[in-house]
Amino acid sequence: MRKLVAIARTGLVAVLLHPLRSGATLFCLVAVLTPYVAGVGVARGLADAAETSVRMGADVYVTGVRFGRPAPVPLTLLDAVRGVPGVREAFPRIVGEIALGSDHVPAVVVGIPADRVPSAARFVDGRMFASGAGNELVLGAKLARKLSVEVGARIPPFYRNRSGERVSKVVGIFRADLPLWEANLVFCSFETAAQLFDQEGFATSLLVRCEPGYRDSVVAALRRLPAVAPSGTEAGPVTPIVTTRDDLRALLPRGMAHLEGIFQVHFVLAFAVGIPLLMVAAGLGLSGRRREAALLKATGWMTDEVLLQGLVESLVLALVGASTAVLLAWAWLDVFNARGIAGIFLPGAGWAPAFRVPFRLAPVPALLGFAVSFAIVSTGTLYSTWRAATAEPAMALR
Amino acid sequence: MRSGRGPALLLATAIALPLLAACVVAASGPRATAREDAATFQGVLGGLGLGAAVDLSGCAACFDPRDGSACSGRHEPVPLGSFFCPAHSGG
Repeated sequence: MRKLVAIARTGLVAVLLHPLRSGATLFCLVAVLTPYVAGVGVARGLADAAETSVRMGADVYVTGVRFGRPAPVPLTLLDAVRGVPGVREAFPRIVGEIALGSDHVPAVVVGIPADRVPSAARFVDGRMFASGAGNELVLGAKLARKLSVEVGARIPPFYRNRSGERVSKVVGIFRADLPLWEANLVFCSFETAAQLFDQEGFATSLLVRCEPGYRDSVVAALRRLPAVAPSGTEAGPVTPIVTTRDDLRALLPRGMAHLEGIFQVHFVLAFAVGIPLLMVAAGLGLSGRRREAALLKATGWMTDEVLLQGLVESLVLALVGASTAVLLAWAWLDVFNARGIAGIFLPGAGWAPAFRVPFRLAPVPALLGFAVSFAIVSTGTLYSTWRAATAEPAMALR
Repeated sequence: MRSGRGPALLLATAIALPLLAACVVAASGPRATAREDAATFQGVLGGLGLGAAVDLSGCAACFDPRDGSACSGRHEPVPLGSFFCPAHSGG
């Protein structure tokens, strides 16, 4: 046992004896592994944020279609939905796109009834909008920064409405460490959102929460609802479409796995290019390694002892390289907010995201990174060592 | 470094770095207050956002398919047409 420990110690010495070879190998490992660990971390963080969105959302979403395409839901459907046994609450929501400012900054308007919103929340600087107080808006952090507005700012009319336009007031700004979908948000009351889009009497969806144990019966009843025509217009009926939380949960892994999968494919390609580089780096001191092995054999070392020395050297390099990659990936994501890599996963995030990029480093990619780096480094080291160790020492030294 | 302390220091580094990395992996992700705020935020809005887009200008479905939004970046029935949408193709 003491002999094995002594041989293992020579593996550590071998790392220090060849600083150029060890340094080049570590550099290659870190360069290849760090983007991989960081990228998978962002994908996992995004999946977690989406899971929270599904979990805390409504049990059922009722949207509409006309001509087989998405269409606003008439509010006349709301009473029918509320009348279904087992429905605890149902309320309308508007989600739509507008462009703000002279640069036409894209923003996402979300309007829900003001009585469902607390007056203040920890994640808002300022306050939430009030019921019947006119166009009061709560803006996302990124949007507020882009528009250079602060709490209390007044925004001149930026929309067209048949009944006239009003000045809007910014009463709150979301904090930047909320889920990424707040970045470009304009959160307001349902009435304000309806006025911004000049769509009185419509919602983009109805959100339904069910009594415990009633969800299946509520979904079945909602799916039987007939098509509804909007009141006061000549437009044809809108057919309700029901989406449950389970439907969204089924959708979630598919979308996230797709994104993560595409990143993995890119990474495999990058890794394929990196492997020869790593092998060259690991065998950088090939002549030195051959001479070293021959000297050890000439002084009485067995081939397996020489290989054990190489194995320990590889293990140390892989451990240090993979761990450094994980630590650098964490710094990249946490300290530098995923600069550079966020845009791969989040279109529109740009080089330096103005919102907190979600991430979670998982043990599996870190362990996988270590296993792959150990396999590659040991392949590069052990093969050249074995070739030298199995040759005649005199031949190898020559 | 080639003296007796070099290998011991390297061994200590080879043990400490993986332990530190394991701690970082275990502690990564949003803090408890941020998780709580995110849950409250989603509860107030009724659940918003499900994909990788941060606004509706690119792919509305990738921002949130709950509102029946369709992907505007797909070019089907062109073969592999769905991959032209930057929100779906990850680019």
